[in-house]
Amino acid sequence: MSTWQFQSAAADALMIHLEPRIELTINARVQQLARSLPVKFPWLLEVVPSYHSLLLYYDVLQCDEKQVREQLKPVVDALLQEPLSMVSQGKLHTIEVCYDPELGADLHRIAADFSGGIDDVIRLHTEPTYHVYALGFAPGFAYMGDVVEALRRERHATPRQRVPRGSVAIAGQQTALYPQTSPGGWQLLGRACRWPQLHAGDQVRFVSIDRARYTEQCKDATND
Amino acid sequence: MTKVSEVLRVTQPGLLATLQDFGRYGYQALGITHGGPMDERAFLWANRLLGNTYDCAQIEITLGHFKATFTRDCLFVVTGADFPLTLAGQPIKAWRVSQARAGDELTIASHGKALRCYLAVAGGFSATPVYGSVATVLRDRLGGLRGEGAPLIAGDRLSAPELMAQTLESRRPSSRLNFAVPQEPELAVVASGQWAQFARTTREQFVQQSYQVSARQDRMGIRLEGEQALTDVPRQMISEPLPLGAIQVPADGQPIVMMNDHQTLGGYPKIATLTWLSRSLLAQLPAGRRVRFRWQTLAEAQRELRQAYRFFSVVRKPSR
Repeated sequence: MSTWQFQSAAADALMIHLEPRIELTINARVQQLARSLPVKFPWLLEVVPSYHSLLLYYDVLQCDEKQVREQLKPVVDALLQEPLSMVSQGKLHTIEVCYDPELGADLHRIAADFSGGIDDVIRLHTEPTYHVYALGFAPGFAYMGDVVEALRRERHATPRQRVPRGSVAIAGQQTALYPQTSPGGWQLLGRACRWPQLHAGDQVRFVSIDRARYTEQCKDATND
Repeated sequence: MTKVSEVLRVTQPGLLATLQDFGRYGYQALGITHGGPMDERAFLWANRLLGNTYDCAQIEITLGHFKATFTRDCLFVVTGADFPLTLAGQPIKAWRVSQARAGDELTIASHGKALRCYLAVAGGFSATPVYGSVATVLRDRLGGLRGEGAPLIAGDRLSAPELMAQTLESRRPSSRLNFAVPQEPELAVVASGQWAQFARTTREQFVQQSYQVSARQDRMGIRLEGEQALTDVPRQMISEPLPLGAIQVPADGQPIVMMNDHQTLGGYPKIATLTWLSRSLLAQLPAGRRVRFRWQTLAEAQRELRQAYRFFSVVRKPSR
């Protein structure tokens, strides 16, 4: 990883851009920088990572952008030279999902594209270990990838007004879980009742559960 | 510990009244936005006039039509939009600390010239912080009086610390300071984001023409309508983090300014970012008002922010 650049973002914020691709290795580098840089620089107030970029908020009372760039450059260069195997992986989480047409409004239509129907969709969606590229859009909304080619679908042309809390959905190479009821344009496959707090860099596996177990879990969830 | 007790009962919240402190910092990596006062300058002045710390919670009142009754004696101030105010039936001035007595009714009327005012009491309103802040973010259902992001409603009772020896020192900003929002303000911006990818002629057009503030605006963002749409806009990109005040330009060539409740990531190219003061000015402009942009150097913008933070004793701490 050699090509990266700074970009001014605001009077108190600077952006770091790696290569503009949605790719695991590039995002792993973003996560590595997001973890390492705050430890080294006390004037760094907040780091916001995304797919191939990080936004760094710094304390303007302590430094100006020129100083920030000068101090960051050698450190970023050095970190990006480290072998990627040295970059630690995030936590591995398992999320139990009920893939049921009543809980995932788009499941039937997508299943119609496969000879094995819903079973094929479940197999394809639960097969990969997903990587959390970034959190955004809404609190706790994790952009995960990569969805296998055969299951990639475009977003709805017109977003739904109301996607229920816990919905598990896909859009292009991304998959996500809606942590709260909100509008949304992704294709809905099913729903979960319990999920952990996800962080960028974490790994996620989806596991298929039946309706009875889902109902059981929802009862527990409301009792919490 | 200072005793906290009820100080104010809201009887009429108006269009939108929300509890706001300086905002929610340090959680954007989780997709949690800032919140906080849209007119940060007016908010910081209110706390300063009362001798509060810079981040004490206040009520942000949108378009006036607000009524509340003080339930005990306290000092308070209203800053921001210069709406007509009365206390116990008598006219009072904005930007000037007043003494309220238990039972006094405060009314905030409205006029079409500005959008938001801030009601602050000595010691600041109390509420339980969510992710380190009481700032109300409706979309994320965070903060506010009950923690679930709801705006204030009639009947809400707000508490504040009981401060010792509250005396009216008639604090008010120097008359040399001008808080009026100009009729057609020039908003200073710094080049940021994908600025270099916009054609030179587009960057010139951006500052040469005037824009109308549209009705499509809220605490998330403000859409502006230029006389002519910007042309040669760079293509949509992989989503990246958005700073407060960033100006995105979607394919339609009409800018959107990211305000306090903005989404944390966005995929439209950004041409510039508003400076600290310009953000507060824009926050006050009703639909239909015109603005222009003016380039400012990053060094100037940093100087302005530094001066503001020093003057108001704003302390930003690293979040980890």
